[in-house]
Amino acid sequence: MNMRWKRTQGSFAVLAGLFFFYILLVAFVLFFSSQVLQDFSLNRNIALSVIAGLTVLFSFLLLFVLGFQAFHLLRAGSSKKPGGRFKLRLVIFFLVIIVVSALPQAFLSVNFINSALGSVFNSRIDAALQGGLSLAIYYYNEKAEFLDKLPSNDYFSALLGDSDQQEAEIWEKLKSAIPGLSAFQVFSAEGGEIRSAGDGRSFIDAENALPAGEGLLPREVLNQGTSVLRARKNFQNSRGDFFVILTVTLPETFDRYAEDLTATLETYRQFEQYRPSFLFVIAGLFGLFSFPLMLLAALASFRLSDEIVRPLVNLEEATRKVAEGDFSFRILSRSRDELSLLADSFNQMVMELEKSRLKSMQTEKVAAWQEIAQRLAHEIKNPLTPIKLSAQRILKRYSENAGDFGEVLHSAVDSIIREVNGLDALLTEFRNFSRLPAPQPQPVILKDLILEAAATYSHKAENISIRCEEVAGDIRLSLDPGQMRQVFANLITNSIDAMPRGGDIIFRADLVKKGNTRYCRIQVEDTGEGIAPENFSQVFNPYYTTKSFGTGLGLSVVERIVFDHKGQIWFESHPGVGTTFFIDLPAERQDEYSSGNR
Amino acid sequence: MRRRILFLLLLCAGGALRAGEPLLDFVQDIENSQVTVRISGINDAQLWSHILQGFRARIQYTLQIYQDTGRPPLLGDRMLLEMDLVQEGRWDVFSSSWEIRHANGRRVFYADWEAFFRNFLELKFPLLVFSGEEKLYMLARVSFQQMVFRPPLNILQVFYADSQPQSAWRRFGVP
Repeated sequence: MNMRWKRTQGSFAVLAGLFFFYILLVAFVLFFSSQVLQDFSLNRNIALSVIAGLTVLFSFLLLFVLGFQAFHLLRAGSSKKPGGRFKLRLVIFFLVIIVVSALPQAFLSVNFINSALGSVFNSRIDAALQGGLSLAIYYYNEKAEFLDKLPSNDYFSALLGDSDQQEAEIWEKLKSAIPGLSAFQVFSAEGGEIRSAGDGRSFIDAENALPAGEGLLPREVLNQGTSVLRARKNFQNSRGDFFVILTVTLPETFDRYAEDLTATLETYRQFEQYRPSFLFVIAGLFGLFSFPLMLLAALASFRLSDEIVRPLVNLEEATRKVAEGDFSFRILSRSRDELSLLADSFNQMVMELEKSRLKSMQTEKVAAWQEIAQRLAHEIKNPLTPIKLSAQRILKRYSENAGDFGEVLHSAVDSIIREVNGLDALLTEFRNFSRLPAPQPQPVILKDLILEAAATYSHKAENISIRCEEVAGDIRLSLDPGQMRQVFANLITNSIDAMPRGGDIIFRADLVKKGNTRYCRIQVEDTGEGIAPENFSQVFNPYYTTKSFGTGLGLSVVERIVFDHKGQIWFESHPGVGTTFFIDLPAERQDEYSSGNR
Repeated sequence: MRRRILFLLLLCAGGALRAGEPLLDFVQDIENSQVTVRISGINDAQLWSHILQGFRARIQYTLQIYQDTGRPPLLGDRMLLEMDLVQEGRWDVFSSSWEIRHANGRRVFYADWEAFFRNFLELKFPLLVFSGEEKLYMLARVSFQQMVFRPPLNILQVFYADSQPQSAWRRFGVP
């Protein structure tokens, strides 16, 4: 339960992390898009470069994590780990979906921006802007030319050059004749202001007026943002040289509209000139922000694939374990979806199977004990007859008072003792078989154990060669050495008995993999008479033997010990060729979704 | 002496060519209480062409005045003042003259290119006089944009770094 909670927490943390980065990226996009339309070159906008940098850094980080995940996935796929290939296929499928769904969006967005800008910046807008600008220039030039030529007009020349007239009188006459006139100033040739009239804000300073030549002065924009046009006319009369400055103020809206017009035209020209580059940059920006989003989606696809594959892998492992005889295996499910229901059903099925197996085992056990009891009764009954006959013989001879009673007594008692010894041996074997202790496993080098067993019997059997072939010296198993020594001893004894005219006993061992579990497979081969096919099913039954001697418990003990070591035993036999016993013992447990991931 | 001057000139020219960046010159006019920061190394033909097409050029001066505290370079000196001054130059289609918009918003029109070019590439500001015994200095840097992109094309500004060179920081003593 604790492990399940931890796993749920881990999964939540990953999803929360992905969600956090997603929100962060979206915030970056929103901030960037709000800033990009501002003239950011005016201020030192560090945020933009920081955001762009962070986005690139974030992309690299995601690429690294994805690379790491992909490496693990490819390795799992190539090493045929359970679920590896399915997960790889799922991830590829998700990635294809991500790319397929993102690409049209990218093309659509860029195309949409292109079309939208194209519809704004079209030739009609250009013509309208140019037309507006021409009108504005025409208006400006008209004003400028009028002002430029005005002082040369005889009437105004006489009016401005008349030093005797009052300035208020001249101002009124000028104002009524010149629309927009805002100031009238008279300066001496040395630059001293003689008289002035009009709006003081549009007066020109003497230092600016003095160096200017006669005619139209350069355009000037006042502090309040309105443009003024000025014209200078030099005069000479009896009082000396002087010059007049006339100032005309353009309407306040003129500058504002002119500014907007020129700015829009400037934008239009820039767009015309840099349209391909702009679209390229827009596509690049789209990529800059959408690429990390795609990477995030890819990372989520890895996680999602894992979520889909893990229950299936657990189910596969559980099925295999059950097939191997481990009915204690259960699947822990994290969610309450269909896969979880499947896991629950599987667990229920295994429980039912376990119950059924236990019941079957109980039945088999009873049947086996019945058979053992029958055989044991038979074995016990067999010597009772000679014992009874011997006792009856003694009694008869004693009642007859026979002369050879001593001999008869001696012979009958010998027979009784022999049969009782046989019974004693039989019961000792039975007790040993029924009280076989649980194995005490410890690391053992298999080759040493086999060589030890072979050495014990090699000098006891003539014409028989016991060889240890193809057994690697580094195979180390966790076994009860005493019990396994007995297994090898019983098998060797069995083989020796099967080869009365001599032969070979060969030991082999190698590592095999069944599902995800590695086993050590030990082979004990003899070149004896073999086992008749009709006896195959009874070979491991207690008290079954085809020999005239022996108890028939040897192979039963072997099977029991192998079973207690969570192993399996079987044999192949060909009459006249020989018999090979195979023993599979667990070597190690190593798989990806083992108990920690269940 | 001549060799030394020649060597220094070659060094300056070499540095400018290598970096491809504008050079800053700093003139203090004590009598008129005025400081002039002047830029050189700007291609006037290119600027002329761009402005005549209807685009704006921009010069941004960044001035920082520091008090020399004598602390180790890593800790840095105390910054007293920082200014970003921007002036723009363009062609005025109405008056057919060259216009400079100064940092204070003042707009000045020039009938001839030389006067415009000369005034555009320099910044005049009043001499700053600080009281006290502190040792002061000024760091100045200028960035030049041959063409100012208008939004939304201003994003291109980042990708046309060649057309907007930036000078290195120059240090000048403050009286």
